[in-house]
Amino acid sequence: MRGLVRAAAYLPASSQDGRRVAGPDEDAFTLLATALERVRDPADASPRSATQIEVVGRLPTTLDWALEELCGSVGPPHLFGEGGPALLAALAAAEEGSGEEVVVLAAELPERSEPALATPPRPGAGAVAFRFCEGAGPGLEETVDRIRAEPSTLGTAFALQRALTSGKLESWVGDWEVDPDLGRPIDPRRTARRVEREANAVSEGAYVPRPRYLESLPTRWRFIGQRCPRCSAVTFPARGACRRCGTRTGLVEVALARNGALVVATTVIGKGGQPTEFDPQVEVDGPYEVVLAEIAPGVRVTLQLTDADAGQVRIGDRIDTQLRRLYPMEGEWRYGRKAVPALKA
Amino acid sequence: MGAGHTRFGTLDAGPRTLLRTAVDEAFASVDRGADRGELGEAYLATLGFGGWQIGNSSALLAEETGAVGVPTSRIENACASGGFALRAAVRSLGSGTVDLALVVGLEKMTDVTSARRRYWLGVSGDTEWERLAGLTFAGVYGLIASRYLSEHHLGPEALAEVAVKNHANGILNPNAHFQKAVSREEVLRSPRVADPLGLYDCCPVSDGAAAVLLARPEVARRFTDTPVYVDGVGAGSDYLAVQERAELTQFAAARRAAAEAFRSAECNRSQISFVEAHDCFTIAELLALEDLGFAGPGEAAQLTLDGATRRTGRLPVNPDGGLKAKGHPIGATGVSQAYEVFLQLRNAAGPRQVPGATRALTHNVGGAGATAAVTIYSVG
Repeated sequence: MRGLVRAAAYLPASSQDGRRVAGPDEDAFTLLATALERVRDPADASPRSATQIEVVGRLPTTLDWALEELCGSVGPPHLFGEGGPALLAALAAAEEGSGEEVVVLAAELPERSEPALATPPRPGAGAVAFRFCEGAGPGLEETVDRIRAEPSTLGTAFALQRALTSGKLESWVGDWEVDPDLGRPIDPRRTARRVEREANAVSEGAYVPRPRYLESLPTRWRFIGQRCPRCSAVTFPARGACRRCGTRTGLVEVALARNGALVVATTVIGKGGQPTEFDPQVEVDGPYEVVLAEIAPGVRVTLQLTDADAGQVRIGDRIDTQLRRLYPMEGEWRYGRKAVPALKA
Repeated sequence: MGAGHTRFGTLDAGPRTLLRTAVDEAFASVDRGADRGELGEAYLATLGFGGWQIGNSSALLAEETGAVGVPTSRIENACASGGFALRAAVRSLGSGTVDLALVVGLEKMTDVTSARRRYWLGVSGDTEWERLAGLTFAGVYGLIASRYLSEHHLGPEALAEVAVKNHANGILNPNAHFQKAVSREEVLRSPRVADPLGLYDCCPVSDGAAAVLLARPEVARRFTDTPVYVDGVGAGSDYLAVQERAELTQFAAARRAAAEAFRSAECNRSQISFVEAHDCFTIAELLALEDLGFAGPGEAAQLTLDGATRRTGRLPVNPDGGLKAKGHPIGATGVSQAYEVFLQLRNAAGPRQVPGATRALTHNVGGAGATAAVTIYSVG
């Protein structure tokens, strides 16, 4: 018997008519990814922690690969279909599950995840994650009661209450499609030749071919760096050698903090200052902010700010990071982390 | 021995014409003349903007020079291509196997579509992090500028003053892209490109070419009675992405290059009559003064506001208008700096002459500091 150790909902920052809407850089995968990260400690992102993932929703088969990449481990997730019954079944399975820990993910999505900036996003987005561990915390039934009575876990209560209320179940899980002309979730099994045929002219900009993109994912999605066994310095992005002393063997992969980074430099990119692949974004949304943030002592990363007004974040502020769409290339979405204003100051 | 320069700006001339014009002028400027047949080596500094001839473009230099057969190579370090080509030529001459070398910098940038131009403007920056976060060089320098102003508790006035000063110098340079004054208010009010940098903090996109002829010192007097000597050359490199550097408000590559150049030239800062600094953005000129050792951290701002770097100041910086007003045809810039030194040290710079200039320094930076070359010259 295992118990629920954490449950968290992720609701997009923007809203429309009082309902949360996914931003132009969000889709089913980014919503699930953010909810998942809310229930797992960053340390769990170390390469080999065993996690079983149950997913509720009609989601593409590429999701298992993407989640595996995001967690740095796990086998293919169980897919539990759609709607409230599926969610309850997934939660029950998680309670009885066999993995070290089991995470249940469910997303509430717009009818269609819109390609970036093409049309206004549709309302009703959100995702929730439940994490069960052996011998820890209360069981599901108890948890449901507790969450109902606990307003501070607002997002979870909101999601669970809706999930457990009959009649609204059908709207709980949306699908995940993107305009094939603009981009789609990446599928590493597709061959390069096929990608080449489907490549479109969205970007004449920085060309990051898919093998190079795939190679960079541990660094880009999970902030994996290398700690030197000799001098303890952290090298990020991971290279073949310690950046301080040059040691080339025994470097240990470490997951760096994805939240609470200190902003050390910032700029607001206005019209004309953006690379061409960000032209549509500037046309529709106007200027955007880019920050340089310190995710560990002496380790910095360049991130675009999202869910905030350009200029809102300043030097000395803290930011959290979330997985978001960057832009489509070679006919599919390229994802990476972006900065959002920190939840905790 | 000689130097040539086309007009910088939005030009009708194509790249071959620009090459030919600069080379012809360089040969014509040699006091006692030089025979193209004597060339032992030629270097072309160019990014190959727009992709018109990326590979083997140095063969075109041999063609347009009328020196087909001469060993020729393209040197590419983005905006520092010119400085590194100059360095390569100095080292060729130092090997003793070559008597006369030609260095030409070239870029044709204005004949491509706007989207293609902005693509090419970004090809020398870090792609995987900076570019994917939405930064071009303006953005990277914007980050650096924000840090500089914050660290030193400064407003944007010193940045604006760099633009004002270099525009004022550009008025006196008939080859300059911009030959008109701007006021501090105009700079501060210009549309924000990468805050705190506005449009007038950025150098323009320009066409142009510049050429210099170099000879071994032992044979220099065959060509002229007033040769300009390269006393010292230094160069360095750094992480491509700014996020990986230890310091945000100084360029280690430039500091290393400067230290090496001063060491090999056996001179000190106070002996430098004027500086040609790489001011692709206004912040870059402030960093340059500090990296070169003419100012301590944060002090370049006050030095600039005090007028010390004006053409008539204590340490004139960019008397030709700099990249900001003269223009920045990427590969041509480093060679153009050497051209200005050639004129100034031979007292041939006309109305923009720095009085009594005997020793000069050029500072040429690739991108946002990934590469840098520094050269020190004197007149003999």
